[in-house]
Amino acid sequence: MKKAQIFSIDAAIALFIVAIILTASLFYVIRSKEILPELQVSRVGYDIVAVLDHEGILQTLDQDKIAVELNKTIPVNYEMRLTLVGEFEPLEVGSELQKERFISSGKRIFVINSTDAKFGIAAFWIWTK
Amino acid sequence: MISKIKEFKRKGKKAQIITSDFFIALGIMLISLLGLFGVWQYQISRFNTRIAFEDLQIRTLQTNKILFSSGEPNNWNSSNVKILGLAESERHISSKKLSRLNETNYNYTKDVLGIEGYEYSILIKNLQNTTLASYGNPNPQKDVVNLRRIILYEGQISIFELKMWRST
Repeated sequence: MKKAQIFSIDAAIALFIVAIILTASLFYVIRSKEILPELQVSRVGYDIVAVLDHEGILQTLDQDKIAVELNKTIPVNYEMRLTLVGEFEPLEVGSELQKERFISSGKRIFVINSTDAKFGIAAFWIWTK
Repeated sequence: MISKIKEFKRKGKKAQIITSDFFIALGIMLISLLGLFGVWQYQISRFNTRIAFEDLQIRTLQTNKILFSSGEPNNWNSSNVKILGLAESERHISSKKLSRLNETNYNYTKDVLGIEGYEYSILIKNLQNTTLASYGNPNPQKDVVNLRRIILYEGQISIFELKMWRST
Protein backbone atom coordinates (compact mmCIF):
# COMPACT_ATOMS: atom_id res chain seq x y z
CA MET A 1 0.00 0.00 0.00
CA LYS A 2 2.76 2.38 0.89
CA LYS A 3 4.48 1.56 -2.39
CA ALA A 4 1.32 2.45 -4.34
CA GLN A 5 0.97 5.73 -2.47
CA ILE A 6 4.52 6.71 -3.26
CA PHE A 7 3.93 5.90 -6.93
CA SER A 8 0.75 8.04 -7.07
CA ILE A 9 2.38 11.01 -5.35
CA ASP A 10 5.33 10.71 -7.70
CA ALA A 11 3.00 10.75 -10.75
CA ALA A 12 0.98 13.66 -9.34
CA ILE A 13 4.13 15.72 -8.73
CA ALA A 14 5.39 14.94 -12.24
CA LEU A 15 2.05 15.96 -13.74
CA PHE A 16 2.00 19.14 -11.70
CA ILE A 17 5.50 20.09 -12.85
CA VAL A 18 4.65 19.36 -16.50
CA ALA A 19 1.47 21.45 -16.22
CA ILE A 20 3.40 24.39 -14.76
CA ILE A 21 6.10 24.22 -17.45
CA LEU A 22 3.55 23.96 -20.29
CA THR A 23 1.41 26.80 -18.96
CA ALA A 24 4.42 29.05 -18.31
CA SER A 25 5.93 28.46 -21.75
CA LEU A 26 2.63 29.12 -23.53
CA PHE A 27 1.99 32.19 -21.37
CA TYR A 28 5.34 33.71 -22.34
CA VAL A 29 4.97 32.84 -26.03
CA ILE A 30 1.47 34.35 -26.20
CA ARG A 31 2.35 37.42 -24.14
CA SER A 32 5.49 38.18 -26.17
CA LYS A 33 5.50 41.72 -27.50
CA GLU A 34 4.28 42.42 -31.02
CA ILE A 35 6.95 44.32 -32.94
CA LEU A 36 5.17 44.82 -36.26
CA PRO A 37 2.74 47.57 -35.12
CA GLU A 38 5.71 49.47 -33.68
CA LEU A 39 7.54 49.12 -36.99
CA GLN A 40 4.53 50.65 -38.71
CA VAL A 41 4.72 53.72 -36.43
CA SER A 42 8.37 54.17 -37.39
CA ARG A 43 7.58 53.71 -41.09
CA VAL A 44 4.89 56.41 -41.00
CA GLY A 45 7.41 58.80 -39.42
CA TYR A 46 9.95 58.18 -42.17
CA ASP A 47 7.20 58.54 -44.81
CA ILE A 48 6.17 61.96 -43.50
CA VAL A 49 9.72 63.33 -43.34
CA ALA A 50 10.56 61.94 -46.80
CA VAL A 51 7.41 63.42 -48.34
CA LEU A 52 8.06 66.82 -46.72
CA ASP A 53 11.61 66.65 -48.07
CA HIS A 54 10.52 65.73 -51.61
CA GLU A 55 7.90 68.48 -51.62
CA GLY A 56 10.60 71.03 -50.68
CA ILE A 57 8.82 71.97 -47.44
CA LEU A 58 11.74 71.21 -45.12
CA GLN A 59 14.01 73.31 -47.34
CA THR A 60 11.92 76.45 -46.69
CA LEU A 61 13.11 76.41 -43.02
CA ASP A 62 9.86 78.26 -42.28
CA GLN A 63 8.57 77.03 -38.92
CA ASP A 64 4.93 77.98 -39.56
CA LYS A 65 4.82 76.47 -43.04
CA ILE A 66 6.44 73.22 -41.86
CA ALA A 67 3.99 73.02 -38.92
CA VAL A 68 0.99 73.53 -41.22
CA GLU A 69 2.18 70.91 -43.74
CA LEU A 70 3.07 68.47 -40.95
CA ASN A 71 -0.43 68.81 -39.47
CA LYS A 72 -1.96 68.22 -42.90
CA THR A 73 0.17 65.16 -43.59
CA ILE A 74 0.15 63.30 -40.28
CA PRO A 75 -2.59 60.63 -39.97
CA VAL A 76 -5.30 61.40 -37.39
CA ASN A 77 -4.27 58.70 -34.93
CA TYR A 78 -0.63 59.81 -34.76
CA GLU A 79 1.28 62.63 -33.09
CA MET A 80 4.74 63.76 -34.07
CA ARG A 81 7.53 66.11 -33.07
CA LEU A 82 10.01 67.29 -35.68
CA THR A 83 13.24 69.21 -35.18
CA LEU A 84 15.49 70.58 -37.88
CA VAL A 85 19.13 71.31 -37.13
CA GLY A 86 22.03 72.42 -39.29
CA GLU A 87 23.79 75.64 -40.20
CA PHE A 88 20.68 77.64 -39.35
CA GLU A 89 18.54 78.48 -36.34
CA PRO A 90 17.17 75.14 -35.02
CA LEU A 91 13.45 74.61 -35.62
CA GLU A 92 10.96 72.59 -33.57
CA VAL A 93 7.42 71.80 -34.65
CA GLY A 94 4.68 69.37 -33.62
CA SER A 95 3.36 67.98 -30.34
CA GLU A 96 5.11 67.69 -27.00
CA LEU A 97 6.63 64.27 -26.33
CA GLN A 98 4.38 61.91 -24.39
CA LYS A 99 5.52 59.84 -21.45
CA GLU A 100 4.78 56.18 -20.80
CA ARG A 101 4.06 55.15 -24.38
CA PHE A 102 5.99 53.73 -27.27
CA ILE A 103 7.75 56.50 -29.22
CA SER A 104 9.57 55.78 -32.44
CA SER A 105 12.30 58.12 -33.62
CA GLY A 106 14.44 58.59 -36.70
CA LYS A 107 16.57 61.01 -38.66
CA ARG A 108 16.84 62.10 -42.26
CA ILE A 109 19.48 64.28 -43.85
CA PHE A 110 17.97 66.71 -46.35
CA VAL A 111 19.67 68.93 -48.89
CA ILE A 112 18.80 72.63 -48.65
CA ASN A 113 21.03 73.86 -51.43
CA SER A 114 23.05 71.44 -53.50
CA THR A 115 25.28 74.10 -55.10
CA ASP A 116 26.86 75.22 -51.82
CA ALA A 117 26.38 71.80 -50.17
CA LYS A 118 24.04 73.14 -47.50
CA PHE A 119 22.13 70.46 -45.67
CA GLY A 120 20.15 69.90 -42.50
CA ILE A 121 19.16 67.01 -40.27
CA ALA A 122 15.48 66.36 -39.61
CA ALA A 123 14.94 64.32 -36.43
CA PHE A 124 11.47 63.07 -35.60
CA TRP A 125 9.62 61.39 -32.75
CA ILE A 126 6.30 59.77 -33.54
CA TRP A 127 3.71 57.94 -31.43
CA THR A 128 0.09 56.88 -31.59
CA LYS A 129 -2.56 58.90 -29.74
CA MET B 1 -12.18 -19.26 14.14
CA ILE B 2 -14.40 -16.30 14.98
CA SER B 3 -11.39 -14.12 15.32
CA LYS B 4 -10.25 -15.26 11.83
CA ILE B 5 -13.64 -14.31 10.29
CA LYS B 6 -13.44 -10.98 12.04
CA GLU B 7 -9.99 -10.52 10.60
CA PHE B 8 -11.22 -11.36 7.06
CA LYS B 9 -14.14 -8.97 7.48
CA ARG B 10 -11.74 -6.32 8.66
CA LYS B 11 -9.47 -7.04 5.71
CA GLY B 12 -12.44 -6.93 3.31
CA LYS B 13 -13.49 -3.49 4.57
CA LYS B 14 -9.96 -2.29 4.28
CA ALA B 15 -9.89 -3.43 0.66
CA GLN B 16 -13.13 -1.52 -0.03
CA ILE B 17 -11.68 1.63 1.49
CA ILE B 18 -8.56 1.29 -0.67
CA THR B 19 -10.66 0.79 -3.83
CA SER B 20 -12.85 3.84 -3.22
CA ASP B 21 -9.76 5.84 -2.33
CA PHE B 22 -8.19 4.73 -5.60
CA PHE B 23 -11.25 5.72 -7.65
CA ILE B 24 -11.44 9.15 -6.02
CA ALA B 25 -7.75 9.69 -6.78
CA LEU B 26 -8.25 8.44 -10.34
CA GLY B 27 -11.25 10.75 -10.79
CA ILE B 28 -9.31 13.78 -9.56
CA MET B 29 -6.40 12.82 -11.80
CA LEU B 30 -8.66 12.42 -14.85
CA ILE B 31 -10.38 15.75 -14.20
CA SER B 32 -6.96 17.40 -13.85
CA LEU B 33 -5.75 15.78 -17.05
CA LEU B 34 -8.89 16.80 -18.95
CA GLY B 35 -8.60 20.37 -17.62
CA LEU B 36 -4.96 20.53 -18.63
CA PHE B 37 -5.77 19.13 -22.07
CA GLY B 38 -8.57 21.69 -22.55
CA VAL B 39 -6.38 24.63 -21.51
CA TRP B 40 -3.58 23.33 -23.73
CA GLN B 41 -5.87 23.00 -26.76
CA TYR B 42 -7.28 26.50 -26.20
CA GLN B 43 -3.82 28.05 -25.89
CA ILE B 44 -2.55 26.17 -28.97
CA SER B 45 -5.51 27.42 -30.99
CA ARG B 46 -4.87 31.02 -29.82
CA PHE B 47 -1.19 30.59 -30.62
CA ASN B 48 -1.92 29.27 -34.13
CA THR B 49 -4.31 32.15 -34.83
CA ARG B 50 -1.67 34.63 -33.77
CA ILE B 51 1.06 32.95 -35.84
CA ALA B 52 -1.23 33.00 -38.90
CA PHE B 53 -1.97 36.70 -38.41
CA GLU B 54 1.72 37.56 -37.91
CA ASP B 55 2.52 35.65 -41.10
CA LEU B 56 -0.11 37.73 -42.90
CA GLN B 57 1.39 40.94 -41.46
CA ILE B 58 4.87 39.93 -42.69
CA ARG B 59 3.49 39.07 -46.15
CA THR B 60 1.81 42.48 -46.29
CA LEU B 61 5.05 44.26 -45.35
CA GLN B 62 6.98 42.28 -47.97
CA THR B 63 4.38 43.00 -50.66
CA ASN B 64 4.42 46.68 -49.72
CA LYS B 65 8.21 46.73 -50.05
CA ILE B 66 8.00 45.19 -53.53
CA LEU B 67 5.27 47.62 -54.62
CA PHE B 68 7.36 50.56 -53.35
CA SER B 69 10.29 49.53 -55.56
CA SER B 70 10.62 50.72 -59.15
CA GLY B 71 10.14 47.18 -60.49
CA GLU B 72 12.07 45.01 -62.92
CA PRO B 73 12.43 45.95 -65.74
CA ASN B 74 12.03 49.60 -64.77
CA ASN B 75 9.61 50.15 -67.63
CA TRP B 76 7.74 46.91 -67.14
CA ASN B 77 4.46 45.99 -68.76
CA SER B 78 1.98 43.14 -68.27
CA SER B 79 3.94 40.77 -70.55
CA ASN B 80 7.52 41.28 -69.27
CA VAL B 81 7.10 42.13 -65.59
CA LYS B 82 9.49 40.33 -63.22
CA ILE B 83 9.23 42.56 -60.14
CA LEU B 84 5.99 44.45 -59.75
CA GLY B 85 7.14 47.82 -58.44
CA LEU B 86 5.02 50.95 -58.70
CA ALA B 87 7.49 53.62 -57.63
CA GLU B 88 9.06 56.24 -59.84
CA SER B 89 11.43 57.36 -57.08
CA GLU B 90 11.47 57.17 -53.26
CA ARG B 91 7.83 57.20 -51.99
CA HIS B 92 6.66 58.53 -55.35
CA ILE B 93 4.08 56.19 -56.90
CA SER B 94 3.90 56.41 -60.68
CA SER B 95 0.43 56.82 -62.21
CA LYS B 96 1.78 55.25 -65.43
CA LYS B 97 2.87 52.10 -63.61
CA LEU B 98 -0.44 51.99 -61.80
CA SER B 99 -2.34 52.12 -65.11
CA ARG B 100 -0.08 49.32 -66.43
CA LEU B 101 -0.95 47.36 -63.30
CA ASN B 102 -4.63 47.86 -64.14
CA GLU B 103 -3.97 46.26 -67.54
CA THR B 104 -2.46 43.19 -65.83
CA ASN B 105 -4.51 40.18 -64.78
CA TYR B 106 -5.12 40.15 -61.01
CA ASN B 107 -4.22 36.47 -60.50
CA TYR B 108 -1.05 36.95 -62.54
CA THR B 109 -0.02 39.87 -60.30
CA LYS B 110 -0.47 37.59 -57.25
CA ASP B 111 1.81 35.08 -58.93
CA VAL B 112 4.47 37.76 -59.68
CA LEU B 113 4.22 39.15 -56.13
CA GLY B 114 4.52 35.61 -54.70
CA ILE B 115 1.29 35.81 -52.73
CA GLU B 116 -0.71 32.89 -54.09
CA GLY B 117 -3.24 31.91 -51.46
CA TYR B 118 -3.76 35.55 -50.46
CA GLU B 119 -5.94 38.35 -51.78
CA TYR B 120 -5.05 42.02 -51.87
CA SER B 121 -6.30 45.45 -52.81
CA ILE B 122 -4.56 48.78 -53.35
CA LEU B 123 -6.24 52.11 -52.74
CA ILE B 124 -4.72 55.55 -53.24
CA LYS B 125 -6.54 58.43 -51.58
CA ASN B 126 -5.75 62.09 -51.14
CA LEU B 127 -5.65 63.69 -47.68
CA GLN B 128 -9.34 64.64 -48.04
CA ASN B 129 -10.11 60.89 -48.33
CA THR B 130 -11.10 61.02 -52.03
CA THR B 131 -10.10 57.87 -53.92
CA LEU B 132 -7.60 58.63 -56.68
CA ALA B 133 -6.84 55.08 -57.84
CA SER B 134 -7.57 51.50 -56.89
CA TYR B 135 -6.67 47.96 -57.90
CA GLY B 136 -7.31 44.40 -56.78
CA ASN B 137 -10.03 42.51 -54.99
CA PRO B 138 -12.44 45.10 -53.55
CA ASN B 139 -14.16 42.68 -51.14
CA PRO B 140 -11.95 42.04 -48.13
CA GLN B 141 -12.85 39.11 -45.87
CA LYS B 142 -12.21 38.86 -42.13
CA ASP B 143 -8.70 39.10 -40.63
CA VAL B 144 -7.49 41.79 -42.99
CA VAL B 145 -4.12 43.50 -42.55
CA ASN B 146 -4.42 47.13 -43.59
CA LEU B 147 -1.12 48.92 -44.21
CA ARG B 148 -1.19 52.68 -44.75
CA ARG B 149 1.76 54.63 -46.12
CA ILE B 150 2.16 58.26 -47.01
CA ILE B 151 3.26 58.81 -50.58
CA LEU B 152 3.45 61.31 -53.39
CA TYR B 153 1.01 60.62 -56.21
CA GLU B 154 0.57 62.93 -59.19
CA GLY B 155 2.41 65.69 -57.34
CA GLN B 156 0.30 65.62 -54.19
CA ILE B 157 0.70 64.06 -50.77
CA SER B 158 -1.55 61.00 -50.69
CA ILE B 159 -2.27 57.84 -48.73
CA PHE B 160 -1.39 54.42 -50.10
CA GLU B 161 -3.51 51.67 -48.56
CA LEU B 162 -2.63 48.02 -49.03
CA LYS B 163 -5.10 45.44 -47.69
CA MET B 164 -4.26 41.74 -47.57
CA TRP B 165 -6.11 38.68 -46.37
CA ARG B 166 -6.12 34.92 -46.88
CA SER B 167 -8.04 33.45 -49.80
CA THR B 168 -11.03 31.41 -48.68
